[in-house]
Formats: sequence, structure tokens, C-alpha cells
Amino acid sequence: MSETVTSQKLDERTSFKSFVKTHIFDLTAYAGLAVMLVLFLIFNSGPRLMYNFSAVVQAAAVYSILALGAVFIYSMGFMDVSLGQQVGVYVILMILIGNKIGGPGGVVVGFLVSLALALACGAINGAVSIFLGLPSIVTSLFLMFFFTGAQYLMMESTGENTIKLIQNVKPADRNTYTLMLIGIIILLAIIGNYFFNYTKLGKYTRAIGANKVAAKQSGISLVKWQVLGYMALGFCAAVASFVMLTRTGTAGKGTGSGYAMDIMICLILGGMPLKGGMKSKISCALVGAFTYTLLSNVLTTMGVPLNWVNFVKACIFLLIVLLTCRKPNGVLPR
Amino acid sequence: MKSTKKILALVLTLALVFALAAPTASAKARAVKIGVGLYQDSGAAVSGVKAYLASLEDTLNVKFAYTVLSTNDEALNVTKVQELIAAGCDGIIITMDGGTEAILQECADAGVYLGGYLCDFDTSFRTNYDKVFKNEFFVGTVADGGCGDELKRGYDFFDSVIEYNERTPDAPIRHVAMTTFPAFAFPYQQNFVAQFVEKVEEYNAANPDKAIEVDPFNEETDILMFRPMDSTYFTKHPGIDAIVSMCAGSFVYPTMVSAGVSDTMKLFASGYNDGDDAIFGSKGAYQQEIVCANESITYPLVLLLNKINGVEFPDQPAEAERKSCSTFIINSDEDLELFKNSVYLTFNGEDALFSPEDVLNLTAYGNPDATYAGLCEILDHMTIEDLK
Amino acid sequence: MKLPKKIFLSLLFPVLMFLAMWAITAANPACYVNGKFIFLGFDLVRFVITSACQSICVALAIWMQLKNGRFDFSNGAAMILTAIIAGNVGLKTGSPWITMLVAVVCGIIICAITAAVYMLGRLPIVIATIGVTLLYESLTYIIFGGGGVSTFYQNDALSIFGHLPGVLLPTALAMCIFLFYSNFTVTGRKGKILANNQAAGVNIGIWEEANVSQTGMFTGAIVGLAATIYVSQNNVLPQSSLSTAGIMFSYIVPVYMGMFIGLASNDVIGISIAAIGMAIFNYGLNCMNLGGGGWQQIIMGAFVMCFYTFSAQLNNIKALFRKNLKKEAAA
Repeated sequence: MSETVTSQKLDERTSFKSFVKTHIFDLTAYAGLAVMLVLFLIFNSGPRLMYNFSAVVQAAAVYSILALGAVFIYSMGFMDVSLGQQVGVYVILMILIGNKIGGPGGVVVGFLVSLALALACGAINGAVSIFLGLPSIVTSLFLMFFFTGAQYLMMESTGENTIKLIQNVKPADRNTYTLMLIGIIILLAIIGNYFFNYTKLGKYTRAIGANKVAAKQSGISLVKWQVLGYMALGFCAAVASFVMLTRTGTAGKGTGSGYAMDIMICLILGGMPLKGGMKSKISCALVGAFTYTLLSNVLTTMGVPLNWVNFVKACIFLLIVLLTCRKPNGVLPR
Repeated sequence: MKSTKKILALVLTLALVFALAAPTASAKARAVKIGVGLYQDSGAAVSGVKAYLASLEDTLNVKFAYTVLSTNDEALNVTKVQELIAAGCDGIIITMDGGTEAILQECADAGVYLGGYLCDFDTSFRTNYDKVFKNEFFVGTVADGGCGDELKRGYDFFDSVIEYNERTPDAPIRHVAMTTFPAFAFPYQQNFVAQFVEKVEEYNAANPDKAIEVDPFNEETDILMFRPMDSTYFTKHPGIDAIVSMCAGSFVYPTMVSAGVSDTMKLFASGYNDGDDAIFGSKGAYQQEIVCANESITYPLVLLLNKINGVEFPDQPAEAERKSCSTFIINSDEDLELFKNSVYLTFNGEDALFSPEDVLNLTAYGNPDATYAGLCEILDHMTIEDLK
Repeated sequence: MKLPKKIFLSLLFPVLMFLAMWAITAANPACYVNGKFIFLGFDLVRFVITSACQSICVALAIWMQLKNGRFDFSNGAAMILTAIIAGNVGLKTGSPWITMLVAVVCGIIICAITAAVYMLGRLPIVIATIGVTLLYESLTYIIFGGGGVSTFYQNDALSIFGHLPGVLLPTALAMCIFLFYSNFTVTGRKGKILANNQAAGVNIGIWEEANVSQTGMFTGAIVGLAATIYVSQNNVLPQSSLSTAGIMFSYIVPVYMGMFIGLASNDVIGISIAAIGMAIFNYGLNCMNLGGGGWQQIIMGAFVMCFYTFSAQLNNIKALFRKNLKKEAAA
């Protein structure tokens, strides 16, 4: 009897150890988020806690939505450096069309036009690189240049430094707005999780990231699934643009700038392998986005001097990636 | 390898634990906290305003927190203001008019007041006046110079060119060209161009023997798209003696240096950059720089402190205002020497135009006789003459 | 390939670019001032050389790592940090030569740190270099009071390496370092094996750690030379939020173009030729008042796309031509 109990305990301990060993990177990413949450709670006790919570949700919402879409292309081992500029153009388009048509209908039309453009860009990004034999970074660079120029030209044509959406799209009540954002994030996370883990889209995009040649030889259409992956990102970019619009109601020539790199950092903090493959997880998007947002928020509320904020962020980033991305064995990781 | 992970995890935990050793609340009564959203994160202007505000902390019982805003990302500005609010700020001063309505909504939700500094809030003034200037949480703003039609910078440039010619009769400036930023971002710079040309035409009519030629403003050539001037400018404006740059000199001077004309061509510009004293006046190309005193932040600061302390001036206007501010127009070696003694460059609060007691006396709670008119009057006394 | 053919193919891109921009600007009224055609002139030579020299140095640094199969995000941040340190030291000492020496030493140290983080951290290269990029950018806010270096370029005596003829020296040194590394070091000669098949390279005895550390140091020297030119031409401000990655991306165009153009000669010449061609392109756009703003970005993007497409599809284009010729011959 005691031998059975001992061996049972041993089995439990062994399975727990192996669970931890297998999921060490995910656990570390979650631990990073947990630490940020704890610090957030410590430095935000009192009446400003709920205010700051809603501020964090607002800041993290755009990152979360973009990151959810970016997981599909990062799982293929690609990246998109034009993301920020795309978001900027979509927000400007929504405002211009929304103001032109007027009313809530104008905003809806503006969103649909931006969505159509985003899906088209996704298709171009995905298809062109294969048809023309180009590295994905090249088509991404092209779109980055194109959208930067388009953003400048659109703002120039308005004759204003910033443009404002006349129709109000943000709920007046702060709590309602926060709940709306949480609802959007949860909905997209559920949809993203379903497509990534339970459909061919997620399975094949990860397979492409794991080994493109093997994927092709096993019958996976690279063109089709690459295009669909980029279109998933395009969809999320359009939704993220709308969320950004609800937040400020305005746009300018620099709206969205730097988001491509921010999303990359979010995914890295969330434990996403940048080479993609089967270890890619949709949860990396939310974990990373909230970790990144909380980090910035906590450093400000802690009163870290302005000159040192970036240094602390860099050190924390390096520590987290050393815990989550280290590959101790084999050749140097690429 | 396992031990490496453990060590790293321990280091991370320790780092965060030590970070918790931030200054805790002191026994003293809680100071009012004012957040300042600056337009850049380094440079003389930043160091100068921080030094001035630091000198006011003890007397006014105020603490200042700083952040940097974006010139063109409104969502980031909203985030930065939210972070200041979360850090416990009772009032916030910002230097950008980007996402202002959303920012004011955040302030209203948190019961925090907002003021402006070095910004005329022109876009909000023209297109969103009711939601910004009539908002009870907006106390007003002081511009970097004049506001709207009060901006006569073109005349200042003209005066500086004439002063230069009078100082150097052997080598006067007879041929100039101009540059501006794009109209959609800086609409009033086109007015400066018209003002300058108007004054030159008047001068030429009265002084035909000393006429100054101004190259017609070319909207394609003479507009800098937020990046340094390209070298073809000099080819397109052959034979000029000087550039009248309505935008900051740092967008023009590097190109003058690389084109090899910095020794022969003069530059009249806005703004002041670190190290410009070495190439100013008799030492170099710069002949005019226009700077707004750091002390102009006193205007929104006093209004914020009044609001936070629940008091008002007896002559307080019903709506928030945007106020013009006099500027340091530095266009001679003597002016530069005076400017070098200001807090802008010494980073010493004792060199400021106002002492902490002066500022306290400007507030309604520190001085029951203080008035709004008295506060506005100080904005007219931030010129080079006032540094003497 | 015979030498005359190599020379012809190498010079084809900048010559074609020059002729194309000449024709386009000649037809554009904006390129005439007081009846004088402004495209041709000493300004063209000065702009092309000074602009191309900066591009060549940065592009060589990027390519040196890329050639070994590593995409290094940190070159831009390393360059900025090196420029700030060297520029401030130069201002204190008053010597451009000390500035260049300090820049090279700093560049080597900074890139060696990057290599160490990669090797010891055993992180994927993109993640490691993004991490050190964030670190180096943050240091630009801390060193020398966070003010960057703004007066170096204004000093004619100090900024000789940013203008003609001094700008040619650091560029020539960078090219020599690259050639020495590629042809006279074991690491350099065997680096391409690692790029093509890392596992096989390691299995046949290539010591990858030595490759990483030596490549890092040589890259650092080139980054130091790039920083010398950069601080001599620009007001260098602190950077954040991976903005230096954008600086790096703006110099990546000659890298990819140079890979293709260099097929006729070698990669150093290819990159140099590509940088010169792009400088001519940018100068032409400036003459037509398209040098800034939205249209410049769109034109640049379209040009880059067309060039890469052409280079990627060259074999298919050749095959198509041959097929058409055969059809015509048969007909």
C-alpha cells in the first residue's frame, strides 16, 4: 500500500515536473504578466485604481487586437513592418468617409471601406511575395513606404494637422466604454483561438512556419494559406483602427507610427517564437500586449525618472526574453 | 542551464522588489502634483523649464511629474495623460494640441484640470472650440509667441534683417529666400511670409538704394516636409545672402554646412538649439533666433493651482483663453549674452524672471489681491529687454 | 565573366539611373531656375557622394551580418549610440581623428556586447538584437545628460568626415575592412556556409561562436565609421521605441539591391553601386520637388518593389525572351 502511495506521489511529481518543463516558456510569460499585475495593484491602490484599470484596457486594446491578427503571420515566420502605417491610413479613411456621408451610417461605410482595403492589402502581402518570388519583408517594406506616403498625402489634402470625426462613436459612460473594449477583445480572442487552434488556418500557418518545404510537399497550398493568414491580420488591423478611432476621435499624419515594432515586442514578451512553427500560441498576443502596456503604465506610476524609463523597460525585456526564449542546446538559434 | 534560469528568475524578482523601494508617502501634507507633457525629452529647453519648475516646488508645495508627448500620435498622447493621471496628478500642462478632446474627457473623468503651454491650440480653437475652450476642466493656454492674427513673426524677421544691415553696412543682406513648414501643420507660417514680403516692399519703396530682393515663395521648393532642407534649395535660389526660415533653424543649418555655405550665408530662424551660441552673430551664420521664455509656463500653472485650491480670480473670464506671449528675439551678440544668463541656458532657477514668491503672489490663494489681468500682464514682460 | 563585361554590368544600374533621371528632370520645368538646368552641376556630385558614403557604410554593416545568416536589428542603435559618444568626445578633444578612433573602438565594443548577448543568452537573433536595440536606445537618454550631440556637425574642423573630400576616407576604410573580412579571414570565407545551412556548417567544423564574435567586431568597426560620417552630417538626438530600426530599414535598400548588382563583381562593389544609384535617384526627386512628403515615399516604394521583382524574376524574364526569340525565328 505504502509503495503504491509512494509511486503515485512520485508519478504526480514527475508529471508536474514534466508539465513545468514542457511549458516553461509559457509559464514564464504568464509570470511576467502576473508580476506586472501585482505591481499595478500595489502602485494604484485608492480611488484612481479603476480609472487606471480602464486606461490600461484602452491602451492595450489596440495592441491586443493587432497582436491577435499578427499571430497568424508570425506563426508562419513572417513579420509586417507596414502595420502602423496601415492603421494610420484606415483611421484617416474612416474619418474622411464618415464625415462625408455623415451620421452613424457614414462611420459604418468608412469601416467597411477600410476593412475591404485591409483585406486587399493582406491578400497582396500574402500573394505577391509568392508569385513574384520575393521575401515577405520586401512586400511589407513596399506597403510601409506606400502607406506612409498615402498618409502624408491624405493629411495634406485636408489642409489640417489633425482631423476629427464629427459623429461620436465613443460611449459617454467610461465604464460602458471599458466594457465594450473588453468585450471586443474577448470576442476576437475567442474567434482567433477558434481559427488558430481548431481550423486549418491555424494548423497550416503553423505548419508553414515549421517547415515550408514539408508543408508544400504535404499538399498545403502556400499561396492560399499565406493569403488567408495576412487577411486575418488585415481584418484585425481594420478593427484595431476602429477601436483607436473610438479612443481619440482624431487622426493625423503620424497616427499609428511605430505600432509594427510595438506589436513585435508584445509578441516576444508573450512568448511567441519569431520563427513561427508549431509552438506558436494565440495566447501570446494577449499576454504580451497587456504585459507591455502594464510595464509602461507601472513605470510611470512608480515615478521612475523620464530618462530612465526606457532603460528599465529594456532591462526587463531582456530578462523576460532570457527566461522565455533561451535555447540552451544545439546550434545558436536563428 | 536550469540554474541559469533560476538565477535569472531571481534577478528579475529582486529587480522588481528593489523597484518597490520607491519613495513612500512622507509625513508632510501631500503636495499638489502637476504633470507636464513636454514636446521633446531632451535639450536646453527641457532642462530649463525643469529647473524653473523645480525652483517653485518648495514655496508652492507642488511636485512635478514629466512625460513626453507625440507631435503626431494622438492615441499616445491620451495614453501619456492617462498615465500622469494614474500617477496622481491633480493638474496637467500639455504642449500639444493632438487628441485634446479625448484628453479633456479623461481629465473630466478623473477630476483633473488641464492647461496648455507653448501651444496656441489652433486646431481646437478653430474646429472644436466648444468642447475644448468651454470645457470647465480646461484652464487655458499660452502660445509660443502670438496667437492667430496676433502673430506678427514676419515683421520680427524683417526687423532683424534691417538691424543686421545697419550693423554691417559693408556687407548688407540684399537677397533673401524663405522656408516654411507645410501649411496644413503650421498654417500661420504662410502669414509670416506675407508679412515679411509686405514689410520688404514698404522698405524698398522708401529706400530704393537699399532695396532687398526676396525670391518669390515657391510652394514646391520652399516647404520643408518635416525633414532637413535638401541641398537643391541653394541651386534653386542662386545668389541669396540669407535664408529667412519660419521653421526651426535645425532643419536648415545642417544643409547649409554640408553645402559649404554656412560661412557666407546668413540664417534667420525660429527656436534655439544647444550649441547655437557658437555659430551666432559675429561668430557664424545664425543672425536671429526667437525663443519663448520657460517662465511662460507660469500662466497655466497659476490657473491650475487656483482651480485645485478651489479659488478664482475676481476678474476670471467665463471661458478659457489662449494668450499670446512676448518672446526673446535674439538678433545680436548683446542679446545673446543677455539670453545666456536666463534660466533657459543656465538651468538655475535663481536666474528665472520670477521668483517662487512672485509666482505665489500671482495665485488667488496665495494673494487675495491677485487678478487675472495681473497674471496676463507678465506674459508681456518676457522679452530680451526684461533680462537686463 | 570577362572583366569588361563585369565592369559594364556593374556600372549599368547607376548609369541607367543617371540617364533616366536626366531625361525626366530635363522634361520637368521645376528643374530650371533662371533658364539654368539644375540637375547637372557640382551639387549633384556632392550630394551623391556624401549621401552614398553614409549609405555604403551602414549597408555594409547590415550585409556583413546578413551574409552570415543573421538579421541584426541593432546596427541603427549602435550607430546612434556610437555617434553620441564619439561626437561628445570629439567636441571635448577638438580632434576629428580622435572622434573616428573613439567611434571605431566604441562600435567594436557595442557590437561585441551584442554578439555576447546573442551567444551567451542563446536567444534567437532577432529577439537578441531587438533587446539590445532597446538597451542602446535607452542609453542615449542617459549618457552625456541625454542631450545627444548637436554641435559637432556645425564645426567645420571637426566634421571633415561628413563632407567632401574627407567623407571618402571612412567609406574607403569600411570597404577595406569588409573586403579583408570576406577574403582574408577564415570566418569571412566560411560565413556563407552558415547562412545556407547552419547545422551543416557547424557539423563540418565551423566554430559558430568564433564566427559570431569576430563578425560582431568587424561589424562594429564599420558601424563606428558609419557613426563618424553620421555625426559629421547630422544633429544626433536620443532615440526610443525602436525608432533606430526605422533608420536601419532606410539603409537596407542598397543591401538587397547590392546582392543582385554584385553578382557581376562582388558584394562590396554591388552595395556601393546600389547606394550611388539610389543617391542619384533621390537627388533627381529633390530637383523635381518630390524629395519630401508623400509622393517621395510612394515612388520609393514602387521603385524598390519593381527592382526586387525584376531581380527575382530575371531568369523567368530571360526565359521568356528566349522563347519569344525562338518563336520569331521559327516563324
